[in-house]
Amino acid sequence: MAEKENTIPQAEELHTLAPTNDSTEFLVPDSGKKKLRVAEEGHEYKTYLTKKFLERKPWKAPDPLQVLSHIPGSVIEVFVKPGQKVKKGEKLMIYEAMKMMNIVSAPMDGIIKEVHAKEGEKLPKGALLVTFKKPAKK
Amino acid sequence: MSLLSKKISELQERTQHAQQGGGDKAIAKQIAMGKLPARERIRKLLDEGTFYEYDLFIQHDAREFGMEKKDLAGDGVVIGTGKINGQPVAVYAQDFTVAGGSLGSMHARKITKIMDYALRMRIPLIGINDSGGARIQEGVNSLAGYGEIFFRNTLNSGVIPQISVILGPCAGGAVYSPALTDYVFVVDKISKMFITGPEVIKSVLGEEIDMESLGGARVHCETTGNAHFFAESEDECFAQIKKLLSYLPANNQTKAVPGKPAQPLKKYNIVKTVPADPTEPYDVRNVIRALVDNSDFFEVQEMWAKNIVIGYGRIEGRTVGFIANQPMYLAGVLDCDSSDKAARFIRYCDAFNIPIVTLEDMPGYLPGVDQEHAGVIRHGAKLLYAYSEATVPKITVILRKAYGGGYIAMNSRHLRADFVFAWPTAEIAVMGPQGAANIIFRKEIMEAEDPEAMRKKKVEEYKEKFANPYVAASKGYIDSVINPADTREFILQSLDISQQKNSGMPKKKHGIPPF
Repeated sequence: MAEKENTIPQAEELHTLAPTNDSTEFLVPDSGKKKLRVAEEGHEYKTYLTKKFLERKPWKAPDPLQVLSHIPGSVIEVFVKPGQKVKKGEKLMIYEAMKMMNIVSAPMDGIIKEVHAKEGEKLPKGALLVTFKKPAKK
Repeated sequence: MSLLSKKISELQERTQHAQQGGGDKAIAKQIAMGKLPARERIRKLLDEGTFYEYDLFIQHDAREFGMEKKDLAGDGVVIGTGKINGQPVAVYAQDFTVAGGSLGSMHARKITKIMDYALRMRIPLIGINDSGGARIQEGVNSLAGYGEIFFRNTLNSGVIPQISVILGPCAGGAVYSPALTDYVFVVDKISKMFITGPEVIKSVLGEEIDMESLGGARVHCETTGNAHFFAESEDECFAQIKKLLSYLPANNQTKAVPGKPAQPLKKYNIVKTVPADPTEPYDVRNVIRALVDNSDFFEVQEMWAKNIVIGYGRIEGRTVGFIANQPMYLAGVLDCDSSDKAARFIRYCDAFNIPIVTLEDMPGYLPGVDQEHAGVIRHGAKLLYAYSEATVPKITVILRKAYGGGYIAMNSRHLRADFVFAWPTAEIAVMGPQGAANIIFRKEIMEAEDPEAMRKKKVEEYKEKFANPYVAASKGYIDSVINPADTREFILQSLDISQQKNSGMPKKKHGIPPF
């Protein structure tokens, strides 16, 4: 172990931070030669990438039409059906989590497109509960 | 014309010239972006006619890249002193109309001058940030300027209130001054804060994101927790700053100027707000409103980590810091963000002699792989540290659930709370009845003819015996079980008793909190 720590890492274990003008080239997660473009200018150098960095999920814009669970829990009662018109703040369902009957309310005025959560279902955090219909353009 | 009047008219000319900032065109552009010019901002923020400006005639000292020929009015920043609510404050405002408010060495020196002044005079410091960032032409001198500011932010921390107002871009290293200060104010569509912008993120990682989604006002209030107050307009933002300052003392050696004592409004009824059934959610802010003068609760970080509520109110005129679990969001659990949020607020109150009232109703720490891997142990420890370390009067009221590690963390007797009260609806136990019964009576439940019926029976038995405040009361862990309607009275008398509280910490250079 001590020996390993004292050894200078071999080039192939490292990742290249290469200057390039090709803006389409960035991290390639599983090719073994993971490339990371750091800047338009500067010298090429090599570095380890952390596990956390390699496993990170790229950012995705949240979909305002989706209602997600914020906490792991169970669906106790659903009050809405597809096609139903709801007002902002209206009760969509009761979602039990951490010894509490949480009320999931509508984030906006709109029409329910789909209800994904079923009564009695246990769900993780981030599960899709309800989708709203895209409002018609004015 | 006499010699004196000649000299005076020269002064007037010079003043006028320096005060025009980047000139009419640049000011028109600033206004077109929906932003006010720097001096206008200061004028609106301070009490009328109280602003005195210093260092108006400062000149930049850059000698490279043709900079020596450039005249930058006041070097892009306005500094001075004035009053808010009749109390003295020091203020600086970056002037985006002058070289984009970029920070060069003289610009930084003006800021550090007013920071030193604020510290010496022991008065609050307010910084209005609106800058394109480092002045590249000044190279490392510009970086030196940032470093000098950050160092002073740290030195001033806990001595005088430091407030940052983000009214424009604040990017790269510049963001660390606000991050080091006590409170960050942002305005929708105007404030932008990030370390690396959308372009760099796209070129390095291939992720596409617009500036607003990356570091807009809303993001910093809802997602990152970097900002504390969200406003729709600059005017609203200035009103918020005035209100915040009304709760704070000028420095750590004094107490806040008391407000006029008043009763809470009748419409906030404490008994009606909290359902006796512990599985029913409610808005804990209405409990606070039922306790404070005029039902006026000034919430801090309203949009981030909503499962804990922090903020200021007054009881018989005296400023009190409130920390309350919020059953309406995430069942009021403790997690990484809510621990961070509360811990910092506790340290703030402690530094500035503001008594802390904790309202407790939480089922414990949030379970989950993401929480564990996000370091809920490390983050949760901050809350324990902050409560334990605080020596201001600490009062806890347990409304309903107080389970497990969360019970200890929420300013329990064991962390040296001064007063711990519980409502008759309080459930103080090592864990919820379901979980506890399943463990303690595992054998009986398994061996029963009808395990489900036995489980129910044992859960009821446990509830009956332990889900109440009287076990903890029998050990002296709580001081009194009180009628919810008397809560304000109990808090008030506790505050009265602890006016001369003197409780120290062992001598040390400083502790090592789990940052």
